Amino acid sequence: MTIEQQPAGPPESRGSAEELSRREVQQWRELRAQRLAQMRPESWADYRARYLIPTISFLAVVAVIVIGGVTTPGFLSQTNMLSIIRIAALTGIMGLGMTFITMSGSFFSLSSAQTGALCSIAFAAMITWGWGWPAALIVTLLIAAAVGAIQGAFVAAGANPVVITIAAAAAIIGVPAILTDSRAIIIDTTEAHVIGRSTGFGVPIQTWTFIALMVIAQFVLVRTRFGRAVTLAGANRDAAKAAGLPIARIEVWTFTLASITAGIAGIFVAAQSNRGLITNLEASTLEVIAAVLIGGTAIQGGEGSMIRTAFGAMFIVAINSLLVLRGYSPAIRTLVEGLAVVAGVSLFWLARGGAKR
Amino acid sequence: MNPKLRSAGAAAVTQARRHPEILRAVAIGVVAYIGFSIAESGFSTINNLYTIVEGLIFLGLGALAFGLTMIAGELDLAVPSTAAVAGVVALLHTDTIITGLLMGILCGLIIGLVQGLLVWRIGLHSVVITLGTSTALLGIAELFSPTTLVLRNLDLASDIQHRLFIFSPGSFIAIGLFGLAGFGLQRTRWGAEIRAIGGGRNEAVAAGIPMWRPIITVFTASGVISAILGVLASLSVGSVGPPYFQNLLLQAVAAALIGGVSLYGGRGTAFGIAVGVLTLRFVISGMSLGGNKFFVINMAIGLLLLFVVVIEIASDRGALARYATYGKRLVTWERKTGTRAAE
Repeated sequence: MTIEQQPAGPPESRGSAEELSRREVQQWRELRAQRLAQMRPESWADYRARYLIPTISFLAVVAVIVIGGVTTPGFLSQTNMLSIIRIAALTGIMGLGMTFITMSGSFFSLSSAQTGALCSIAFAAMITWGWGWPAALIVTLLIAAAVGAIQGAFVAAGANPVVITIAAAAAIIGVPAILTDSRAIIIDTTEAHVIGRSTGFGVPIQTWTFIALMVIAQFVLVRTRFGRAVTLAGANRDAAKAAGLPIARIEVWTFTLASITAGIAGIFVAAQSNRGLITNLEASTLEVIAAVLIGGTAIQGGEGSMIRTAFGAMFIVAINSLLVLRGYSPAIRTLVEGLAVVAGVSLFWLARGGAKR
Repeated sequence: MNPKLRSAGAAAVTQARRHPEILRAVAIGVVAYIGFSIAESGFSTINNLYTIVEGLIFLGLGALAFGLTMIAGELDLAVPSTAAVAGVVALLHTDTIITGLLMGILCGLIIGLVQGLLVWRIGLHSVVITLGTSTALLGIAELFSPTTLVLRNLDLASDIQHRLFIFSPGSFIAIGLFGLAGFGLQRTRWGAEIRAIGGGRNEAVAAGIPMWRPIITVFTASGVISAILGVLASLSVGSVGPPYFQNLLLQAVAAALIGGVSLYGGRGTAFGIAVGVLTLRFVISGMSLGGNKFFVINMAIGLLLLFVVVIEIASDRGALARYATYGKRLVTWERKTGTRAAE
């Protein structure tokens, strides 16, 4: 690795590398012991730091479901609930990857809807070429990974992620638009029904996949070296650099993961609707970002979880469904989504105890 | 040689040395212009040049609004939505151009002030705030006009588009705004503050600049410029709908970056943005004349934007210098300690 690893302090004064590292480990242990001693697990500050924000986002979901159930007949019906968890699963799956980006302090990606559309078309095309679904799935996800890694490399080189993903979105959607001439690719076999329409215990496969991926992603974020590196890169970029974390590699990986999850969502859409189309998942980017932010993952990075994102996705989809059932226009739904993001971000900022700037 | 001419030439050389990114923008623009003039026979006709300059309204003001916030080290993603709201409001008040324009500007002023206040108070990066407000504003625009609004008084449209050589009243307004923004940015205290918080926020705060002033100034300016863009564009097209401006963001970012606005904030001029806009208009116009579809052109803009980012990163002399020092220190450290610091 390259630029980031600047050895701290004048090397001469610090003894040999072995002694140096032993001393650093010792210091680190002492520091950790101090921190643990300070942390009283029952204190309000600890509770606030750990559980307040997920509690708020969980209560928000509960509130929407209760209000919906009381005021709107049909909201709690089995069909509506199944449709909510199916849609929330797609938003949530994309949100899992986006959460890695946000956690690492690179805000978010504005190209996930386009990546999803690209993958839905690629998958549909491969199925129509007579490939089996496992092969199509793997190759499509490889394409998604490549697309994400390229964007991550740009961000790692120091470019603003928002600018890069705006540019990438246009470039990504251009390829399938030119190749298909903006027409749908229809899958006319039942090859893809396994991943599009199967259910387990009455719950759609999308939801099971989402739950499984959420558990894996949460494990990766909290229990693995990579996840902790992502968290530190977002919490304190300078400290992460000083500690010698490979920031560039972390950024490439987070964007790759976000791209792969967008690809999974795209494959689900293609398999379920039997069509690969450039407008698949259109306008989902905003919903996904809203899910991450309303869930309570901090936009400056370093604090958040996959479970929060799941709550956020449930909230967005449930409130959308409620507004549809009550007959509000799409305009109101867009307005509510936007206000929810602003209100959520401001509220969580207050809950964290003020500005960082 | 005429001494006046010589001193003007010297001044131009100094400016070019001080702003190599503008030289780069002009070079890209000239290459694009010459290339498309040769490739497309209808490219350098007066009619087509008029169409290109008309782009100073739609694309130009968008890039100016976006570029200003970028110079301040922020990003205003709400430019398209603000334009949509202002355009819709203006078309609902079209007794004369003036009432429409005033109502639209009022909207932009309020939107900009609110966004500035939110960004300043909440203290999070503006992409988050403006992403939220942008979505909300789009909802408001849809609320006002569920379907496309059509301008009843079509004389207004022809007034704004009335062709004078390659200009029109609309593009004169746009050019005026560019001049105003350039003056404000280079010659006033506010402009200096905006550039300062973009170039080095901590240093600016340490030097005693009150953060609220440049933040609110730049977001209000961005709101008003976006609003004027929305009003002029919808009046001259004669109709408006919320989705009309959704493609603006990509083009505006591309134009601003081609025009030498720094990715990292702090550097950028109104003149540079104007050059960037014209360059991008050459590309769009040339490609449209070549019969390319919307998606192809958009893809080309996306790739061009990525290309400019590559140049920007590669020409960041600071980064290269830092890289070199790190490398040297690393090598000496490794040699002394006999370890490998890097994996």
